[in-house]
Amino acid sequence: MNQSSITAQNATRRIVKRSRRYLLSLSILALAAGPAWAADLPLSGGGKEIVVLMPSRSNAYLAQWIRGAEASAKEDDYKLTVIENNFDQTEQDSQTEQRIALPHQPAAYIWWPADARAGIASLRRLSRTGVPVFQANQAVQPAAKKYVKAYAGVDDFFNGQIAGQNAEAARAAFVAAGNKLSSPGGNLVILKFIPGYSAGDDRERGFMDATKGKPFHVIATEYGGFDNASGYKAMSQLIPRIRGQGIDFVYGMSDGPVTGAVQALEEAGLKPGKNVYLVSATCIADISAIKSAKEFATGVQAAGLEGWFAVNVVARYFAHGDKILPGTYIAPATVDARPQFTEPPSEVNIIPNPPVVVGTNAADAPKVLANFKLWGQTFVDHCVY
Amino acid sequence: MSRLDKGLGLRLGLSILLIVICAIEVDGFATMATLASIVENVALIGLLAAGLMLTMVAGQLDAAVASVAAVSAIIALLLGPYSLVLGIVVALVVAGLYGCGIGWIIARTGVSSLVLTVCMLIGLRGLALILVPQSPAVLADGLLWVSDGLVARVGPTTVLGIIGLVLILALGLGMRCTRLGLSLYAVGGNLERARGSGVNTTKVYMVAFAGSAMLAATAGILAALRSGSASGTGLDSFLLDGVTAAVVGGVSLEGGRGSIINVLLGSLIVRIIAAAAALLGMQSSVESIATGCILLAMLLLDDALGTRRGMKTAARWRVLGRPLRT
Repeated sequence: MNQSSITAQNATRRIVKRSRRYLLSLSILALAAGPAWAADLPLSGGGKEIVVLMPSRSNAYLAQWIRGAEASAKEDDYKLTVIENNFDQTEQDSQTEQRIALPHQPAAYIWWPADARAGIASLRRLSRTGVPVFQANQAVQPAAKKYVKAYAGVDDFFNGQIAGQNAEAARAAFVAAGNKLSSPGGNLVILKFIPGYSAGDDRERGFMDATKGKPFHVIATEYGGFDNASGYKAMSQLIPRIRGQGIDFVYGMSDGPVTGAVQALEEAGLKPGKNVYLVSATCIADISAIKSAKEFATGVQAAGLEGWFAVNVVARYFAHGDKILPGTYIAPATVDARPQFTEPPSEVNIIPNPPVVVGTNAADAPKVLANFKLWGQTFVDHCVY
Repeated sequence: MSRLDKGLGLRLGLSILLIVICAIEVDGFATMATLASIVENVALIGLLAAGLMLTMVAGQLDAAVASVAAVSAIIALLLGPYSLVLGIVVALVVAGLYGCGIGWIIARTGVSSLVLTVCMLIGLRGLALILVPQSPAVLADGLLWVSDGLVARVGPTTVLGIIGLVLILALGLGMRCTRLGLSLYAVGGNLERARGSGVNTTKVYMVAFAGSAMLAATAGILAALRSGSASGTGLDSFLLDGVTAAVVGGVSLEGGRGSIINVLLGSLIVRIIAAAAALLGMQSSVESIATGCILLAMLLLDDALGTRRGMKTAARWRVLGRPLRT
């Protein structure tokens, strides 16, 4: 074998080797590019309809949820039809029957039950149409799992845990400020939503779970509704009965009733943020209490973000060929921008609920709130509507 | 044209007008499916309105119908695992006894029916929350066929619709053709004259409130069976729905006047608006405004036509065949 043929063979080997490397590199690039393709995966619904059956937008949270859902539908080119009931399961059942019976069915239903544990027969009939049903906001009951493709929304147990962490921080600050606890764990009042509203039960359980290491002493649990007026009424009625025991902390399910409780406590001569600390699980509409540091801490359960996410889950389901991943997915609480949702949706899809602790200094509270960001939006963007 | 015919014509005309407008303007309205849904809900709301009519015709008002419906539905579903039929019977008997008691108290003490039944509205709602403090009473998986059966289509309606309409029409016949039914009008038209003529007003009130409670219970049970559940906070809108349908149906709040056909038409008008709102994806606030406007318009039109004023008492007594004692 002469020198030239050896050189030619070596050259051939090098070319083959290089080719292999190129092929390997190309394969790696192709694999790496997978998520990139997914990121660009078109979510276009081509104008298909999504029907949402939910309670009325007379509640500020629900109104903001609808705005978020509409924005998401517009982004993904879906037509969104919202059928509202007045927080009445019978009305929702009637509307469901009427919608099911129509000849033209939507691409998907989003089911937000008036009562999470009720209306299972309607949900069953909805799923029998063959149209995929997604549940929003109220966790899917075990008996209803077989009727629902996926859940998208809040996790009230998780929100309760966040409130529990906030309460523990409040207790530490309460003691550090020189206040004396009325009982070893501190006396606590819980203001729940309304009877039968499962979110309130879940948030209470989550709170208890988060504080089980050093439990609070619950001196009263009352239904404080969803808004300031209901919270004020509930707290006003409670104060004469429990004041003698000492009220150290108040845990409200959302900022609405907590703001009402602040007013009731002040009228009774107590000083929120000084000798009684209030925490809540989520912000909603009125942020006056947290802004003035009369409320120690809250969580950011953004209604608009939840509505956006629910429709996005449906859009991703169709974009990935009707695929649902098993398990639970908690969306990351990214600060400056919305996360890229490239994967198919999971069975349970949860929005983040990051805590916001302003403490008790009224001068610092606006700065804390101004510095907060979630998915590129501020505290006010998420909580004031 | 008599006042009765004018009232009927007005409601019939408005119903047809609304149907025509909705059929033209609302996509999906002119279908058998929508018709079936409307008729089913007319039957459900009509049961409540017919019950309310019993008390309103007698010059009273049963404001507790929503809570009675909720408690009855809960009782029926809680007893469902043992025997659904037994549960329904027990719920209806309890409602009937409760109504008799309320009627007796009103007749004997003269207490305002509005005040008493508002007390019951609140108290029974509390009882409902005690019966099902956390989770609602639910229909067992093995009984979900009952729910499906109720919404099964039969012509232009459903099984639930037929049950409701049959009960309402039977009540209408009873009110027009029986002595007890006519006594309701007489007592509502002029209580003193009725007493003076020997009408047993205690019995009339007991029947009126027992009928109202049992019809509310029937509506509540049917709604719960359709839904597959009954919660302590449920059926809250029943009172407003029933009163709206009764008033749109021309039942006089002053007593002595009301007809089942008009009440059914009143329910139909309310449900046409609700069905169109649902199909259009209309905000519930807009639907409430539309219903309020219709209610106001009906009151004004009735007043203009004189159809809501009570029929002359003498005419009632002639029907009853009793001499007038003045």
